[in-house]
Amino acid sequence: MNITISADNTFASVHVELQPGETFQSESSAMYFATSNVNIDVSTYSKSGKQGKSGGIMKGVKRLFAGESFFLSKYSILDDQPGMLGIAPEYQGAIEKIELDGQTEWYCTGGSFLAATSDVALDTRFQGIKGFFTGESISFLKLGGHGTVLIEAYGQIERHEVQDEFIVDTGHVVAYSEGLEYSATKVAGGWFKSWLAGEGIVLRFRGTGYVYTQSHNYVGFLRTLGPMLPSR
Amino acid sequence: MEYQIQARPAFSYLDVNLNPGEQIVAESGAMAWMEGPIATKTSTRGGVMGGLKRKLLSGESFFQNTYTAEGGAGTVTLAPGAAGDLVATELHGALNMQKGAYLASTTGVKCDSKWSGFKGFFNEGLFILRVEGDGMLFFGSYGAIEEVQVDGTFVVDNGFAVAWDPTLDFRLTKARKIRSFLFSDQILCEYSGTGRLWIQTRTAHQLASAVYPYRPVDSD
Repeated sequence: MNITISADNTFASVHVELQPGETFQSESSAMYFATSNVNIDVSTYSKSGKQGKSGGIMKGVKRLFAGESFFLSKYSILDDQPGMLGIAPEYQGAIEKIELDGQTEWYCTGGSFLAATSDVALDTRFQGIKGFFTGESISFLKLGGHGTVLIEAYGQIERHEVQDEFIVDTGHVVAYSEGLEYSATKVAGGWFKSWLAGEGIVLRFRGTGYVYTQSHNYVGFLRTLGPMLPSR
Repeated sequence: MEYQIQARPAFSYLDVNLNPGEQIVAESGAMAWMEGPIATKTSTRGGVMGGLKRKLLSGESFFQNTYTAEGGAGTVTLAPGAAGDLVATELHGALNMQKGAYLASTTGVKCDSKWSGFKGFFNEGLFILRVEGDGMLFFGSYGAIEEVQVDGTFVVDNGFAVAWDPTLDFRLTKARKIRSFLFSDQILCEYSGTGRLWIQTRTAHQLASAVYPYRPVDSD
């Protein structure tokens, strides 16, 4: 298998070359091209470590992760020739690769999961926080096993090594590694001051590990554009 | 004539250096800046019917502008409406493109709309743009553009094909084992034959769909 990420940070894309017998998975809207020997199987993700059509359509139908619905497509090769598929996010920005060594688990937001090799286990059980005052929420996908994960970001991706403490606004978190714990907090003294600061919930990461951030806030962008359209 | 595509792939624009007497044709509104003794002539390039066909059927502008360097050298910089990527190609014959992809060309290249039949129904309309002639052609789209050599069959998500050689045929298809009631828009396009195919990595449609739920709600 060959995974090639384009050098471009704005309209980034990935080309995945699969040999016969190899499989791959991605969020289902991500495929934009494929050689015709690539089989595309769309399934709902039902429970930890096991993806498949079990669990029924209703159970897995729409797991809403910060407004995203979550469906997976699984790719395999139909004949004895190598095949190629193109995977791209729906919004502008970069793509980053995280290698899972089977030891450390990672967490990424539902909206930033793009694709992974098939031996990566995805746990979609809700892990996150919901703000009562601000109505913001964030939830994470647990990524475990051995393999390669591709994450997408709105804007540029940056990796930060955390040794002590690191604070990130919820709209800018992409992924973090297992050695870190987070708590929801407010940026200024009280809720009112935080609201004044324009910040709602921020996440305070503590421990040792890595956090991936994105330079821009996608929902913030949509909330800026949306009101400019005719009302419904 | 010399040209250079700048700022690929996010904000691509085209710098054209014209020697005295040389010309470049561009869609209306594409000119961003120019320098030197450049004369601009606006015409429908094909009469009223040609202009109408171009506008209504293929998403291009009714008028086109011809820029001529008169009596000296000059430069014209052209930019497409949607920020994205641009491709320069030498055309000898014809090329099919999605509506709105045409940016500019040398004068020997003409645009026409072409009926793509009902297989084009789920695309941005029933007509695609057919460009014919001899010369340089510049086209683009939102997203980054990748060129693929097709030999056999090749599948592209609907809306992601920017341009293709007329030696390629296409038909609409669906992903296998798909739960179609959940995915009303998971339509794929299968290209067959031998030829070049240019694909974009994002569509403006994806952006529009994402913003759509954030429209303001009517207060009454």
